[in-house]
Amino acid sequence: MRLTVGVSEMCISKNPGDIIVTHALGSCIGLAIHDPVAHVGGLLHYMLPLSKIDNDKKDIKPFMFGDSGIPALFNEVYKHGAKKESLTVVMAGGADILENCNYFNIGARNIAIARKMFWKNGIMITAEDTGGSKPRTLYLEIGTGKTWLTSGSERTELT
Amino acid sequence: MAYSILIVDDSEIIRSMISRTITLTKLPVHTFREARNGIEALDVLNRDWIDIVFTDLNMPVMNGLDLIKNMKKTVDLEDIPVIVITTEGNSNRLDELKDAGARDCIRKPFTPEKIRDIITNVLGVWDAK
Amino acid sequence: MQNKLNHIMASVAESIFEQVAFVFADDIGIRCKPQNSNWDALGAELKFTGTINGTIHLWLETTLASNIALNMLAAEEPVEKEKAIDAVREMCNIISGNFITSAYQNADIILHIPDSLDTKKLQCDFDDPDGIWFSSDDGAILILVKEA
Repeated sequence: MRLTVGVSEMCISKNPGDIIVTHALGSCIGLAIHDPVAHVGGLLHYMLPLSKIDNDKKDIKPFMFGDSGIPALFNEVYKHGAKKESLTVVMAGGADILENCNYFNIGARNIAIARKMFWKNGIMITAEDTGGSKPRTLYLEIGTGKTWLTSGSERTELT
Repeated sequence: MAYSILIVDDSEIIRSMISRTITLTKLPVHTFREARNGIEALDVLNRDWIDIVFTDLNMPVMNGLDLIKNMKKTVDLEDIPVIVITTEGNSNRLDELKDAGARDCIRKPFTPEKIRDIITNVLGVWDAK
Repeated sequence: MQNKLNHIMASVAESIFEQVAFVFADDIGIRCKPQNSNWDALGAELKFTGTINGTIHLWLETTLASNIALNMLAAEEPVEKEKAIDAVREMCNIISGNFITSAYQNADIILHIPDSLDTKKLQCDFDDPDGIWFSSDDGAILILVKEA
Protein backbone atom coordinates (compact mmCIF):
# COMPACT_ATOMS: atom_id res chain seq x y z
CA MET A 1 0.00 0.00 0.00
CA ARG A 2 1.23 3.52 -0.76
CA LEU A 3 1.24 5.85 2.26
CA THR A 4 1.65 9.56 1.56
CA VAL A 5 3.30 11.89 4.07
CA GLY A 6 2.35 15.53 3.63
CA VAL A 7 4.19 18.63 4.77
CA SER A 8 4.68 18.62 8.56
CA GLU A 9 3.64 14.98 8.79
CA MET A 10 5.24 11.69 9.75
CA CYS A 11 4.35 8.08 9.13
CA ILE A 12 5.60 4.75 10.47
CA SER A 13 4.95 1.30 9.09
CA LYS A 14 5.78 -2.32 9.88
CA ASN A 15 3.88 -3.62 6.87
CA PRO A 16 6.36 -5.04 4.32
CA GLY A 17 3.97 -4.25 1.50
CA ASP A 18 3.95 -0.52 2.22
CA ILE A 19 5.79 2.22 0.36
CA ILE A 20 5.88 5.58 2.16
CA VAL A 21 6.26 8.63 -0.06
CA THR A 22 6.54 12.34 0.47
CA HIS A 23 6.28 14.83 -2.38
CA ALA A 24 7.45 18.33 -3.15
CA LEU A 25 10.54 18.50 -0.97
CA GLY A 26 11.82 21.97 -1.73
CA SER A 27 13.55 23.59 1.21
CA CYS A 28 11.82 21.02 3.43
CA ILE A 29 13.60 17.85 4.54
CA GLY A 30 12.37 14.32 3.97
CA LEU A 31 13.93 11.91 6.45
CA ALA A 32 13.50 8.18 5.93
CA ILE A 33 14.75 5.71 8.55
CA HIS A 34 14.51 1.91 8.46
CA ASP A 35 15.52 -1.01 10.65
CA PRO A 36 15.91 -4.16 8.52
CA VAL A 37 16.03 -6.37 11.62
CA ALA A 38 12.86 -5.06 13.30
CA HIS A 39 11.24 -4.52 9.87
CA VAL A 40 10.01 -1.06 10.72
CA GLY A 41 10.49 2.23 8.93
CA GLY A 42 9.32 5.81 9.04
CA LEU A 43 9.36 8.97 7.03
CA LEU A 44 9.19 12.57 8.26
CA HIS A 45 8.64 15.72 6.18
CA TYR A 46 9.55 18.87 8.11
CA MET A 47 9.44 22.47 7.00
CA LEU A 48 11.43 24.54 9.45
CA PRO A 49 14.46 23.91 11.62
CA LEU A 50 13.56 25.30 15.04
CA SER A 51 10.30 25.08 16.96
CA LYS A 52 11.19 28.03 19.21
CA ILE A 53 9.63 30.37 16.63
CA ASP A 54 6.17 29.03 17.55
CA ASN A 55 5.88 26.90 20.67
CA ASP A 56 2.12 26.59 20.28
CA LYS A 57 2.53 25.17 16.80
CA LYS A 58 5.18 22.78 18.12
CA ASP A 59 2.60 21.18 20.42
CA ILE A 60 -0.04 20.85 17.70
CA LYS A 61 2.28 20.14 14.79
CA PRO A 62 5.54 18.71 16.11
CA PHE A 63 6.49 17.38 12.68
CA MET A 64 6.62 20.88 11.24
CA PHE A 65 10.02 21.45 12.87
CA GLY A 66 13.26 19.53 12.65
CA ASP A 67 14.15 19.83 16.33
CA SER A 68 10.82 18.34 17.45
CA GLY A 69 10.03 16.12 14.47
CA ILE A 70 13.30 14.24 14.29
CA PRO A 71 13.24 12.97 17.90
CA ALA A 72 9.56 12.07 17.44
CA LEU A 73 10.37 10.01 14.34
CA PHE A 74 13.19 8.13 16.04
CA ASN A 75 11.23 7.56 19.25
CA GLU A 76 8.31 6.18 17.30
CA VAL A 77 10.40 3.60 15.42
CA TYR A 78 12.17 2.66 18.66
CA LYS A 79 8.74 2.00 20.20
CA HIS A 80 8.15 -0.47 17.37
CA GLY A 81 11.33 -2.38 18.09
CA ALA A 82 13.94 -0.54 16.03
CA LYS A 83 17.49 -0.23 17.36
CA LYS A 84 19.70 2.77 16.71
CA GLU A 85 22.66 0.65 15.60
CA SER A 86 20.55 -1.09 12.92
CA LEU A 87 18.99 1.99 11.37
CA THR A 88 19.63 3.27 7.88
CA VAL A 89 19.07 7.01 7.67
CA VAL A 90 18.32 8.80 4.42
CA MET A 91 17.92 12.54 4.05
CA ALA A 92 16.58 14.44 1.04
CA GLY A 93 15.60 18.04 0.30
CA GLY A 94 16.94 21.23 1.83
CA ALA A 95 17.01 22.96 -1.54
CA ASP A 96 17.45 26.67 -2.06
CA ILE A 97 14.00 27.64 -3.26
CA LEU A 98 13.48 31.20 -4.47
CA GLU A 99 10.12 31.76 -2.79
CA ASN A 100 11.87 31.40 0.57
CA CYS A 101 14.02 34.44 -0.06
CA ASN A 102 12.54 36.16 2.99
CA TYR A 103 14.09 33.58 5.31
CA PHE A 104 17.70 32.89 6.21
CA ASN A 105 18.52 30.05 3.83
CA ILE A 106 15.84 27.75 5.19
CA GLY A 107 16.98 24.76 3.12
CA ALA A 108 20.53 24.94 4.48
CA ARG A 109 19.25 25.41 8.04
CA ASN A 110 16.92 22.46 7.74
CA ILE A 111 19.92 20.36 6.75
CA ALA A 112 21.99 21.85 9.60
CA ILE A 113 19.45 21.03 12.31
CA ALA A 114 19.30 17.40 11.15
CA ARG A 115 23.12 17.20 11.14
CA LYS A 116 23.27 18.74 14.60
CA MET A 117 20.85 16.17 16.02
CA PHE A 118 22.58 13.29 14.30
CA TRP A 119 26.01 14.43 15.49
CA LYS A 120 24.80 14.84 19.06
CA ASN A 121 23.08 11.45 19.05
CA GLY A 122 25.81 9.52 17.29
CA ILE A 123 23.93 8.82 14.06
CA MET A 124 25.53 8.59 10.61
CA ILE A 125 23.60 9.40 7.47
CA THR A 126 23.53 6.38 5.16
CA ALA A 127 22.67 8.34 2.03
CA GLU A 128 21.55 11.84 1.16
CA ASP A 129 20.50 13.98 -1.74
CA THR A 130 20.28 17.54 -0.46
CA GLY A 131 20.83 21.15 -1.42
CA GLY A 132 20.82 22.50 -4.93
CA SER A 133 17.57 23.93 -6.26
CA LYS A 134 15.57 20.97 -7.50
CA PRO A 135 12.34 19.69 -5.95
CA ARG A 136 12.37 16.07 -4.81
CA THR A 137 9.98 13.23 -3.98
CA LEU A 138 11.31 10.63 -1.52
CA TYR A 139 10.22 6.99 -1.30
CA LEU A 140 10.82 4.33 1.37
CA GLU A 141 9.90 0.69 0.73
CA ILE A 142 9.24 -0.94 4.10
CA GLY A 143 9.77 -4.56 3.03
CA THR A 144 13.29 -3.97 1.72
CA GLY A 145 14.35 -0.65 3.28
CA LYS A 146 15.12 0.64 -0.19
CA THR A 147 14.90 4.39 -0.69
CA TRP A 148 14.88 6.38 -3.86
CA LEU A 149 13.91 9.82 -5.01
CA THR A 150 12.51 11.35 -8.13
CA SER A 151 12.94 14.84 -9.46
CA GLY A 152 11.10 15.50 -12.67
CA SER A 153 11.70 12.44 -14.81
CA GLU A 154 14.93 11.54 -13.02
CA ARG A 155 15.07 8.69 -10.54
CA THR A 156 17.97 8.25 -8.11
CA GLU A 157 18.44 5.12 -6.00
CA LEU A 158 19.68 6.06 -2.54
CA THR A 159 19.84 2.77 -0.64
CA MET B 1 41.27 -6.50 11.93
CA ALA B 2 41.33 -3.46 14.22
CA TYR B 3 43.12 -0.31 13.15
CA SER B 4 45.44 2.09 14.90
CA ILE B 5 44.78 5.68 13.95
CA LEU B 6 46.88 8.79 14.43
CA ILE B 7 45.16 12.19 14.43
CA VAL B 8 47.39 15.25 14.08
CA ASP B 9 45.96 18.73 14.66
CA ASP B 10 46.84 21.63 16.96
CA SER B 11 43.14 21.94 17.85
CA GLU B 12 41.98 19.53 20.55
CA ILE B 13 38.39 20.04 19.42
CA ILE B 14 39.18 18.97 15.87
CA ARG B 15 41.08 15.92 17.12
CA SER B 16 38.03 14.97 19.21
CA MET B 17 35.66 15.51 16.30
CA ILE B 18 37.71 13.30 14.01
CA SER B 19 38.03 10.50 16.56
CA ARG B 20 34.33 10.66 17.36
CA THR B 21 33.50 10.54 13.66
CA ILE B 22 35.71 7.51 13.12
CA THR B 23 34.05 5.79 16.09
CA LEU B 24 30.63 6.48 14.57
CA THR B 25 31.67 4.80 11.32
CA LYS B 26 32.04 1.58 13.37
CA LEU B 27 35.46 1.00 11.86
CA PRO B 28 37.13 -1.46 14.24
CA VAL B 29 39.66 0.67 16.08
CA HIS B 30 42.45 -0.74 18.21
CA THR B 31 43.80 2.61 19.37
CA PHE B 32 43.57 6.30 18.70
CA ARG B 33 46.77 8.29 19.03
CA GLU B 34 46.88 12.07 18.92
CA ALA B 35 49.56 14.64 18.18
CA ARG B 36 49.55 18.43 18.12
CA ASN B 37 52.07 18.87 15.32
CA GLY B 38 54.32 17.01 12.90
CA ILE B 39 57.15 16.46 15.38
CA GLU B 40 54.84 14.85 17.96
CA ALA B 41 53.32 12.79 15.14
CA LEU B 42 56.74 11.46 14.10
CA ASP B 43 57.43 10.53 17.74
CA VAL B 44 54.24 8.47 17.77
CA LEU B 45 54.97 6.92 14.37
CA ASN B 46 58.46 5.90 15.39
CA ARG B 47 57.13 4.29 18.55
CA ASP B 48 53.74 2.78 17.72
CA TRP B 49 52.17 0.82 14.88
CA ILE B 50 49.85 3.17 12.96
CA ASP B 51 47.60 2.14 10.07
CA ILE B 52 46.37 5.54 8.93
CA VAL B 53 47.15 9.19 9.66
CA PHE B 54 44.77 12.14 9.58
CA THR B 55 46.63 15.41 9.65
CA ASP B 56 45.95 19.12 9.55
CA LEU B 57 48.15 21.25 7.33
CA ASN B 58 48.87 24.46 9.24
CA MET B 59 50.36 23.57 12.60
CA PRO B 60 53.12 25.05 14.71
CA VAL B 61 56.56 23.37 15.06
CA MET B 62 56.09 21.12 11.98
CA ASN B 63 53.26 21.43 9.48
CA GLY B 64 51.38 18.66 7.70
CA LEU B 65 53.30 18.91 4.44
CA ASP B 66 56.65 18.46 6.20
CA LEU B 67 55.20 15.58 8.19
CA ILE B 68 54.25 13.81 4.94
CA LYS B 69 57.67 14.49 3.40
CA ASN B 70 59.38 13.10 6.48
CA MET B 71 57.20 9.99 6.44
CA LYS B 72 57.94 9.37 2.77
CA LYS B 73 61.70 9.50 3.51
CA THR B 74 61.38 6.80 6.18
CA VAL B 75 61.19 3.16 5.09
CA ASP B 76 58.88 2.06 7.91
CA LEU B 77 56.52 5.00 7.47
CA GLU B 78 56.38 5.65 3.73
CA ASP B 79 53.46 3.32 3.00
CA ILE B 80 51.16 4.55 5.78
CA PRO B 81 48.26 6.37 4.13
CA VAL B 82 47.94 10.04 5.09
CA ILE B 83 44.70 11.98 4.77
CA VAL B 84 45.01 15.76 5.03
CA ILE B 85 42.14 17.70 6.61
CA THR B 86 42.60 21.38 5.87
CA THR B 87 41.04 24.77 5.27
CA GLU B 88 43.41 25.18 2.33
CA GLY B 89 41.61 25.80 -0.95
CA ASN B 90 44.42 26.71 -3.33
CA SER B 91 44.58 23.99 -5.98
CA ASN B 92 48.37 24.28 -6.41
CA ARG B 93 48.96 23.67 -2.73
CA LEU B 94 46.50 20.78 -2.69
CA ASP B 95 48.33 19.27 -5.68
CA GLU B 96 51.59 19.75 -3.78
CA LEU B 97 50.17 17.66 -0.95
CA LYS B 98 49.18 14.85 -3.31
CA ASP B 99 52.58 15.03 -5.04
CA ALA B 100 54.27 14.80 -1.65
CA GLY B 101 52.33 11.61 -1.00
CA ALA B 102 49.03 12.49 0.69
CA ARG B 103 46.46 9.85 -0.18
CA ASP B 104 43.59 12.32 -0.11
CA CYS B 105 42.59 15.78 1.12
CA ILE B 106 39.38 16.85 2.83
CA ARG B 107 38.47 20.48 3.18
CA LYS B 108 37.07 21.88 6.39
CA PRO B 109 34.19 21.98 7.10
CA PHE B 110 33.90 18.22 6.75
CA THR B 111 30.92 15.97 7.36
CA PRO B 112 31.20 12.65 9.23
CA GLU B 113 30.00 10.94 6.06
CA LYS B 114 32.91 12.38 4.08
CA ILE B 115 35.37 10.96 6.61
CA ARG B 116 33.60 7.59 6.39
CA ASP B 117 33.80 7.63 2.58
CA ILE B 118 37.51 8.47 2.62
CA ILE B 119 38.28 5.70 5.12
CA THR B 120 36.30 3.25 2.96
CA ASN B 121 38.34 4.26 -0.08
CA VAL B 122 41.62 3.90 1.74
CA LEU B 123 41.06 0.90 4.00
CA GLY B 124 38.26 -0.89 2.16
CA VAL B 125 34.78 -1.79 3.37
CA TRP B 126 34.29 -3.18 6.88
CA ASP B 127 31.40 -4.92 8.61
CA ALA B 128 29.64 -2.14 10.48
CA LYS B 129 27.31 -4.48 12.40
CA MET C 1 36.06 47.25 -1.70
CA GLN C 2 35.49 46.82 2.05
CA ASN C 3 31.77 46.47 1.40
CA LYS C 4 32.44 43.66 -1.06
CA LEU C 5 34.75 41.87 1.39
CA ASN C 6 32.19 42.27 4.15
CA HIS C 7 29.41 40.92 1.98
CA ILE C 8 31.44 37.82 1.11
CA MET C 9 32.55 37.34 4.70
CA ALA C 10 28.98 37.63 6.04
CA SER C 11 27.78 34.94 3.67
CA VAL C 12 30.72 32.60 4.34
CA ALA C 13 30.58 33.08 8.10
CA GLU C 14 26.85 32.44 8.30
CA SER C 15 27.27 29.20 6.38
CA ILE C 16 30.23 28.01 8.47
CA PHE C 17 28.45 28.78 11.74
CA GLU C 18 25.55 26.62 10.56
CA GLN C 19 27.63 23.75 9.24
CA VAL C 20 30.34 23.50 11.89
CA ALA C 21 28.91 25.04 15.06
CA PHE C 22 25.21 24.37 14.35
CA VAL C 23 24.55 28.02 15.24
CA PHE C 24 22.06 30.08 13.30
CA ALA C 25 22.54 33.82 12.90
CA ASP C 26 19.21 35.42 13.78
CA ASP C 27 20.18 38.77 12.36
CA ILE C 28 23.07 40.55 10.73
CA GLY C 29 23.97 44.22 11.01
CA ILE C 30 24.93 47.02 13.36
CA ARG C 31 21.68 46.52 15.33
CA CYS C 32 23.21 43.23 16.57
CA LYS C 33 26.03 45.10 18.30
CA PRO C 34 25.75 44.83 22.09
CA GLN C 35 24.83 48.04 23.91
CA ASN C 36 27.41 47.40 26.56
CA SER C 37 30.96 48.01 25.41
CA ASN C 38 32.15 45.74 28.27
CA TRP C 39 31.20 42.87 26.07
CA ASP C 40 32.36 39.48 27.43
CA ALA C 41 33.92 37.91 24.36
CA LEU C 42 36.75 35.64 23.24
CA GLY C 43 38.67 36.46 20.09
CA ALA C 44 41.00 34.96 17.53
CA GLU C 45 43.07 36.42 14.73
CA LEU C 46 44.26 34.89 11.48
CA LYS C 47 46.73 36.61 9.17
CA PHE C 48 47.01 35.82 5.50
CA THR C 49 49.87 36.69 3.19
CA GLY C 50 50.73 36.28 -0.45
CA THR C 51 49.35 38.08 -3.50
CA ILE C 52 47.03 39.78 -1.00
CA ASN C 53 47.81 40.36 2.65
CA GLY C 54 45.26 40.82 5.38
CA THR C 55 43.88 39.96 8.78
CA ILE C 56 40.68 38.42 10.03
CA HIS C 57 39.42 38.86 13.58
CA LEU C 58 36.61 36.80 15.06
CA TRP C 59 35.01 37.63 18.41
CA LEU C 60 32.38 35.40 19.99
CA GLU C 61 30.39 36.18 23.11
CA THR C 62 31.89 33.87 25.72
CA THR C 63 28.66 31.93 26.35
CA LEU C 64 28.33 31.40 22.60
CA ALA C 65 31.93 30.19 22.32
CA SER C 66 31.29 27.68 25.11
CA ASN C 67 28.13 26.44 23.41
CA ILE C 68 29.91 26.11 20.11
CA ALA C 69 32.57 23.99 21.78
CA LEU C 70 29.78 21.87 23.31
CA ASN C 71 28.14 21.43 19.90
CA MET C 72 31.38 20.53 18.14
CA LEU C 73 32.29 18.01 20.81
CA ALA C 74 28.70 16.69 21.09
CA ALA C 75 29.25 17.11 24.82
CA GLU C 76 26.54 17.18 27.44
CA GLU C 77 28.34 18.96 30.25
CA PRO C 78 29.76 22.49 30.23
CA VAL C 79 33.28 22.70 28.83
CA GLU C 80 36.28 24.41 30.38
CA LYS C 81 37.36 27.81 29.07
CA GLU C 82 40.32 26.34 27.17
CA LYS C 83 37.93 24.45 24.89
CA ALA C 84 35.89 27.62 24.26
CA ILE C 85 39.11 29.40 23.29
CA ASP C 86 40.04 26.48 21.01
CA ALA C 87 36.59 26.69 19.42
CA VAL C 88 37.01 30.39 18.62
CA ARG C 89 40.42 29.76 17.05
CA GLU C 90 39.16 26.87 14.97
CA MET C 91 36.05 28.75 13.82
CA CYS C 92 38.34 31.63 12.82
CA ASN C 93 40.50 29.12 10.93
CA ILE C 94 37.64 27.52 9.02
CA ILE C 95 35.84 30.79 8.28
CA SER C 96 39.08 32.37 7.06
CA GLY C 97 39.99 29.47 4.78
CA ASN C 98 36.60 29.50 3.14
CA PHE C 99 36.54 33.30 2.94
CA ILE C 100 39.91 33.34 1.13
CA THR C 101 38.61 30.88 -1.47
CA SER C 102 35.38 32.82 -1.97
CA ALA C 103 36.97 36.26 -2.08
CA TYR C 104 40.18 35.53 -3.96
CA GLN C 105 39.47 32.22 -5.71
CA ASN C 106 42.76 30.44 -6.44
CA ALA C 107 45.10 33.32 -5.58
CA ASP C 108 48.41 32.35 -4.01
CA ILE C 109 47.61 33.17 -0.41
CA ILE C 110 48.95 31.47 2.70
CA LEU C 111 46.82 31.25 5.80
CA HIS C 112 48.78 31.49 9.02
CA ILE C 113 47.97 29.66 12.21
CA PRO C 114 45.20 31.41 14.17
CA ASP C 115 46.10 33.04 17.48
CA SER C 116 43.94 33.96 20.41
CA LEU C 117 43.33 37.69 20.75
CA ASP C 118 43.94 39.56 23.98
CA THR C 119 40.72 41.15 25.22
CA LYS C 120 42.62 44.46 25.30
CA LYS C 121 42.18 44.44 21.51
CA LEU C 122 38.42 44.07 21.79
CA GLN C 123 37.62 47.73 22.37
CA CYS C 124 39.28 48.78 19.15
CA ASP C 125 37.47 46.11 17.12
CA PHE C 126 34.20 46.78 18.97
CA ASP C 127 34.22 50.39 17.72
CA ASP C 128 35.44 49.61 14.20
CA PRO C 129 32.81 50.78 11.69
CA ASP C 130 33.84 47.96 9.31
CA GLY C 131 32.86 45.27 11.81
CA ILE C 132 30.28 42.69 10.76
CA TRP C 133 27.86 41.94 13.58
CA PHE C 134 25.63 38.89 13.93
CA SER C 135 23.21 37.94 16.66
CA SER C 136 22.39 34.39 17.67
CA ASP C 137 20.51 32.71 20.49
CA ASP C 138 23.61 32.47 22.65
CA GLY C 139 25.19 35.80 21.93
CA ALA C 140 26.71 38.21 19.50
CA ILE C 141 29.44 37.64 16.92
CA LEU C 142 31.84 40.22 15.52
CA ILE C 143 34.01 39.64 12.47
CA LEU C 144 36.51 42.02 10.91
CA VAL C 145 38.31 41.42 7.67
CA LYS C 146 40.95 43.88 6.55
CA GLU C 147 43.32 43.90 3.62
CA ALA C 148 46.74 45.29 4.45
